[in-house]
Amino acid sequence: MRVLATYNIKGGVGKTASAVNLAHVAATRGDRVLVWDLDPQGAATFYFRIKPKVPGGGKSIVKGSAELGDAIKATDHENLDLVPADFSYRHLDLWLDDAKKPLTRIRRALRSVAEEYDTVILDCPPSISLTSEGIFRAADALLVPTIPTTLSLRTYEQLDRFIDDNPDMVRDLRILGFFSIVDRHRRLHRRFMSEFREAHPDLLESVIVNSNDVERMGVERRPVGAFARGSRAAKSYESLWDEIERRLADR
Amino acid sequence: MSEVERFEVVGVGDIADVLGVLVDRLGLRVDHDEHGDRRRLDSTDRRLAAADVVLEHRVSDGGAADLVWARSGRVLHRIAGVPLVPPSDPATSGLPARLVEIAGSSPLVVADAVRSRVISLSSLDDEEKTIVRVVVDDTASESDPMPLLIEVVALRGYRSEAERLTADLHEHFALRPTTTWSIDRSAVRTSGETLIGTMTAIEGWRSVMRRLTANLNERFVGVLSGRDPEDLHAFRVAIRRIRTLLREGDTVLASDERAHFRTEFLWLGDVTTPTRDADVLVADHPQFVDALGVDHRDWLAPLLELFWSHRVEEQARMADELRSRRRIDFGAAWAAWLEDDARWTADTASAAGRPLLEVAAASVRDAHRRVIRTGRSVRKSSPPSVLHDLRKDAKRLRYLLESFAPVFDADAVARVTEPLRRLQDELGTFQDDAVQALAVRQLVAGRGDLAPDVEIATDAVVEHLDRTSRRARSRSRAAFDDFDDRRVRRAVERLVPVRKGSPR
Repeated sequence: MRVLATYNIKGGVGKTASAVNLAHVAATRGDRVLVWDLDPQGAATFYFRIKPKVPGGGKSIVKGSAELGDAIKATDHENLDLVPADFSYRHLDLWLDDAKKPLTRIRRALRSVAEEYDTVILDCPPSISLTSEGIFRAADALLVPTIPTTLSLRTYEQLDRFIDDNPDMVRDLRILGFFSIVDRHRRLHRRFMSEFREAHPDLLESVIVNSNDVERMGVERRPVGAFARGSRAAKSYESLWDEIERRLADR
Repeated sequence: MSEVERFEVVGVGDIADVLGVLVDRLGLRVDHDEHGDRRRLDSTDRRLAAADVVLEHRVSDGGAADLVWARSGRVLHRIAGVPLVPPSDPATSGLPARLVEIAGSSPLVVADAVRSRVISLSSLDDEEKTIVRVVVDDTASESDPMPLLIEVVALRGYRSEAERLTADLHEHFALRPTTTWSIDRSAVRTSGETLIGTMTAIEGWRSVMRRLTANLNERFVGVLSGRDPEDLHAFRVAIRRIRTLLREGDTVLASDERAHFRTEFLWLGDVTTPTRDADVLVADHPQFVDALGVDHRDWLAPLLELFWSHRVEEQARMADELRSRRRIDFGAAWAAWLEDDARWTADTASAAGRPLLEVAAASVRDAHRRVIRTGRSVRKSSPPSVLHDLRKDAKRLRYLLESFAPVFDADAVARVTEPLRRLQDELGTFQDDAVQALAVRQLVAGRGDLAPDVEIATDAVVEHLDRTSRRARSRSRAAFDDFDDRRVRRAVERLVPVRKGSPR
């Protein structure tokens, strides 16, 4: 089982859309996929039409008094399951702070389903906190969607520095950044992308363009590939997934 | 992953009645309603079946082609738009890597095929999220109308909702639980029932050889594991039956393929013979104890150990051969030939397009004549090889009768088979015991470390086997005389009316 996390310190960069769509692509390719919605906003849970409620509360999973497996719900898509968010996840940092060995809690919870899934995608809340550090410890790779704007690029560099400064915490964690919500017609986007790639040659080549189809996910409440198969957006996520797989295999 | 409960609907013949209840009373939504052909794929050595995996290629009448992958009855994955035409190489077929690992490197071929109407329905919650799936499967089988199948698929996290729906279904229908995947259910019902006398000979030959190949494949994993000697026995019987059909199919099958596969099946049979002989030695050990007397049981214990270690060695040797490139290539070529429609046409050989009944009956008559001719040539002084030939002729006749039994007169078949079986039994005991006596001598000959008690016991076992073999030989004369009887000859002719100038 490999654990990937869609993560960015900044909100509104396409983390959840990426988690949902990449999970769907992986599932259609034959992986058994689990999405764990760790964001109290519960957007991934909403996209899959699942009620944002965890039996016994998210706290019991993080504390280890309940099994992660008991909270899993099948989505409408074959091979793709979800651990729904619930609003109590807003206290996740507090729970972790109370727990022994807080940084390993998420990883330990995932261990119980390791045989059941090939790929787990953690959809993370936007912050840098104890929760993030637990996610860094649990994940094999961070998928970091980044909008080509000044503030977004700045937060990417903050994350990069944090990773560099904390080698013990992140261990073998890989950072796979990619551009998201890109408007190719905007000169500024093109310029930022070009400059940023020069500074960060490890960025993924694939780009998720701004698309009506991605916005329609909120209406359809399904991954793009399920209602707009063959669309530009769906193909973008397929290409991105292919590249992620290649990068992970290159390790 | 999801859990599936599967039921046959008892006493409801019309699918519309079932759908009416599901949609109107229980509020399910119809997601798909498709007629189409379903073909179950497997590697030539049945790896998927051994791993409890079903890989099904579904082509709907609308042209949509899906590959459905299920394990233990649960659909794990559905890949849309796969125009897979077997035989296919798993590695290049676009299958998920996990499935390729299971399938291995041998080609995927069609294991079974049925025609179905499959209707998928969903039970939705107030978010319009599917919480339970229901599949209604109406699989057609010409020979035997099959009850409708309903599958209730409890999605993960929604088990209680599925239980409630199942309880509702029980209120509306008489449901009989079943664990069999629908395509298997159909295959079980249709196997061996597809022969009709008016089909062409080549169709009949192909149908029987496909069924025998399915038998081979079913046993293959068991043969490799060596856990149950019955697997090897059944495997070898299927090989011999196929060899008989190839041998007797000289006017039906294409000559090149026939010659090639006769050679390969002979090799396959030979590969398994030493292990089968070793199995028989182990299985007959209690009989040796009885012959020697229970008081001397301990004397035979080292011999049993010897039999076992010999069996383990032979099993390992055989398993290596069965995993060899030759066996894999041969299995793939055989499966590809069986499934290639272009190779099974009425103009393949002189009698290929004639009615099966005519051609099969002629083959039986020829085989019967050979048994009589060989049997009558046996003298008291004849070497064992002559009786061995008689045994082989008798087996061929038996296999032909059994392979084509559905098209023959059942009483006539029984009248021939009964004395034939007795003759085979005596010839079998004669030969098997002689072979065993020789095997025991050879096994012990190489061992200088055996205690005198064991050597005495061994001699006693060999003597016992020689004795039973001799007795069987003498009884085989009477068994043959019973078989070489006017009533049996008449029965052979009654299989089908014989006219002057009939084929062959």
